Parts: sequence; structure tokens; C-alpha cells
Amino acid sequence: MALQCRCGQPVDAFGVPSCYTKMAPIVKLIFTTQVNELINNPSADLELSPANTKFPDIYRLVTPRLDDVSSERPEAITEEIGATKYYVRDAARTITATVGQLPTEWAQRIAELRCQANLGVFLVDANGTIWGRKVDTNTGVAGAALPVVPSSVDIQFAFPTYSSVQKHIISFQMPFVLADYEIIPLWNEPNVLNYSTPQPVGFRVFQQGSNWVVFLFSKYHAPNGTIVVPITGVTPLAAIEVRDSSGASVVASGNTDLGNGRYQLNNPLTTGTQYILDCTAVTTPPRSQFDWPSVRAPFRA
Amino acid sequence: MVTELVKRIRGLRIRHDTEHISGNIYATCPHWWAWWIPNTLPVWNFYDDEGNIHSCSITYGTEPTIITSSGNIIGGIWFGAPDVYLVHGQALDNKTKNAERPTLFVLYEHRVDAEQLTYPTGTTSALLIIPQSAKWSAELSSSMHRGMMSAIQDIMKRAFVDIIDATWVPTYNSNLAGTGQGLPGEANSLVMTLRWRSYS
Repeated sequence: MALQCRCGQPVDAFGVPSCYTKMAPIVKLIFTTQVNELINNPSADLELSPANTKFPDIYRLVTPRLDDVSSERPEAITEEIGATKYYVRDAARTITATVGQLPTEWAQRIAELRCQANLGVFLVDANGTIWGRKVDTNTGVAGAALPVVPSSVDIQFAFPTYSSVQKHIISFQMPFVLADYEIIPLWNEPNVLNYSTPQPVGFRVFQQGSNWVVFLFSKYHAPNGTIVVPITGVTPLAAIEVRDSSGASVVASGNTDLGNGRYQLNNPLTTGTQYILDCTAVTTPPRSQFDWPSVRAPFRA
Repeated sequence: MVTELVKRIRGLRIRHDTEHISGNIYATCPHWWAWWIPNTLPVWNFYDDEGNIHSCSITYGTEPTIITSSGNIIGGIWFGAPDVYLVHGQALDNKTKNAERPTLFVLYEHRVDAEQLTYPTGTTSALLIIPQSAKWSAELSSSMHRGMMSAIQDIMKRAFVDIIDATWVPTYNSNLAGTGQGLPGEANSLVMTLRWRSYS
């Protein structure tokens, strides 16, 4: 929070420790919707795994390496009354990142962040240090994600020219109440620099003859004109579950691999009814390749 | 300074998706290990997503690369950069003779610029030595160079290293006699000037 002056405000000593972590250029961003979660044990709390209970989404929201990340904060908003300047509030910090040579469809992943009610981000620098927010608690100090204003998330695709490659330019704002001194290193984990995020899974559920079929596909095209890339060989088949709208009971599950990413269900569905497709227990292809843990989504048959 | 450069390149782990074709045969995008033609075919050890190691033979100079694996590759393959050696310039001739696969030699002799309010910047030369099994036609050389340049660019980008310039030099090294995959005396070198910054 920006410092609000109060009566008798003390000034802390200016001494600084001899050794401290310096920020290297930011090369990756890790987004999360768990912006209010506190970090007390960084090695466990920031683990990039679906099993991370505190930040269960960070394993899949790590950007590829970014080519150029910059951040600006305009001068504070002030008001002049007579000859005296009064501080009103800080200006909001904007982060802008450029990343080259990614598929055009990747922009949709970033645009989806705009629809979240809560959004936070961790910054990863070239040394593998993860930067976040310092939070004062009743019992001391904890870490957290840096808050992001979801409505400010924007991504633009820049066409290649004769002298430049195709690239995406991402930008977003942080709330103006976030003070610069709240940005602190939370953890150093160089392996984050080599981390590979699983790809999202697309699905359709439709009736084919008398059978109901689940079609699973990659959300990215492939070279050579393959627009839809089916996800083949999904196992176990029974892990392709269709649940009722409450998610409580399994209505149908996969029982036959029809090939080409299509999986036949063992029970019929009712047209027009709301269901939930749940593929969170799929093990093949592995979770490191496709983001099965997040395939639990409602659909209308 | 220069050890930080080498450490960064050695620390890289790159993942490529694989597409199952049949049996233990997979297709994947080529990287540095595929953009040359060895004399005796080496065995490549790739890790899969589950950390299993697989002995693989691959096709060379093709896009995609076809991998024949010793086992079932789960997910994608993981690999690092070529072997990297930090060498004194005067030892280069001797050191490069044992390059059996594409190998990167980084010269210890480097220049450093350090100014107030900037990261210390290092500049040095590096040679990617590619043992060659026979004279390549100009067309084949060109296609191999394009692929290898793209692979090295990817590696350097991941290691936060700028390639200031790069030149392909067909070299004859009279000492290049210990090669298992190339032939004596034949090599292709990518001579680069690298620039990096120390962020610590």
C-alpha cells in the first residue's frame, strides 16, 4: 500500500544489508487467480505442480521466455494549491512484455486472464528469482502474488515485417495502491527458467448416430495445414467422465477409443441438458504434455 | 564472468513434443543434434516427461526428425545444449580434435565492460565444431547451416546470450583425428562472437 502519512510518522533508519538480491531482467511471468493467498514456505507454496494446494493454477500459467519486459510507473498524481504541491496518490504501474515467435492462438490464453475476478502475477528474472509482494501480517511478514487489474490485460499480435519477426505484446496494470517497495524476491528457483507448461485441451461432446462421442483436441494448430490436432491414445478411457451439472455423479464415461481423438461414451446423454466433462484423472498423454487437471468444464449436450 | 556464460548454457533443458508414429517410433522437431550428418550414427539419450531415459537413433537433416527409441517415450523429450568447453585460445586446436558430435568451445579470453548503473558485459568468441563425414554439397551445407543456426539461436536466446555475429567456416584441422562420428580432418565451424551480461 502506498504510504499514507499519519501524525508523528517516524522515519526508519536508512541502513541496508550488505548482501541482498538484485533484480535481473524479467524473463517470465507466472499468473495466478489466487492473489490473496499468503506465502510462508516459498519452496512448497511456489511449486509448479497441480498438487500445489495454495496456488493450484501456477503450474499452467507460466509464460514462455519473454524477450523484453519493461515496466513504467508515471509520476505520482499531485495537486498544486497556490505554490504548494500536495501528493494525492501514486500512479498505476504498467508492465509490458514482448514475446516473439509464438503461435497466434497463444494470445487467447492471455486474453482469458481479463475475465478473471482476481488476478495476480509473479515475476521471474534471468537468475531464476521469483518476485512477488511483501505483505505485513499480524504475526510478521509474508509473501503474495503481485496484484493485477484484470480489466487492464491486453495482448496484441504484431505482424512480421521484412526486418522483424511475429510477436505478441502483452500489457497490464497493477493497482495504484501497490507501492514499489512492496515488490520483493520470494524464492530463487533456476529450474523455473527451464519449466515447460502443459498445453490446453479442447473438447466437444456430440451425438454421432446413436452414440455420444467426446472429441479431445489440442488448442493449437500443427504445421502442414492440420487445423485440428486430435489427442489420440487417451487412457484410461474411464477417466473421460461426463458428470451431472452438480458434478456429484458420473452419468457416462468413455469406453471405446474410436481413433482420431474421438472417444465413445458408455451411456447416452440428454440433448439440451447441462453436464460437466471431467478428464482430471487422465494419465496418458501425460499431464506434462496436456493440462488434464483443468479439464473439468460445463457443457450443454 | 565467462564461467557464468558456460554455466548458463550447460544448465539449459529444452523440451520438444513428440508425435507417436508406431511402435517406438516418434516424430519431433529437429534441434542441434539433427542438423549434421555423422559418419557413424551416435546414440542419443533423451529424457521423457516422466524422467525415463531412452537410447534413441534419429534421422539427420530432416524436418521433422524421426526418432527410434529404446522404449515408450512418455510426452516429450528433454535435452540440453551441445557439450560446452571453456578453453584457452592456444589450446583450441588440440581440444577440438576430439569433438565427436557438435561441440561448443568457448574461448576463455574475453573482454568485459563494466560501467556504473549497467550490468557487467562480457564478449568472447565461441566455435561450434561440427565433425563432418564427407564433403557436403553447397545445397546440403546451406540447409544444415540454416537449421543449426536456428538451433544455436534458440539455445543462446534461452541462455540470455546475444550472438553479435556468426560465420560459417569450413575448417581443416590436421589434429581432428580422434573423431568417432566425423572423419579425420573434416569439420564445419560456426565461429561466433557472443555477448552476455552478468546479472548477479
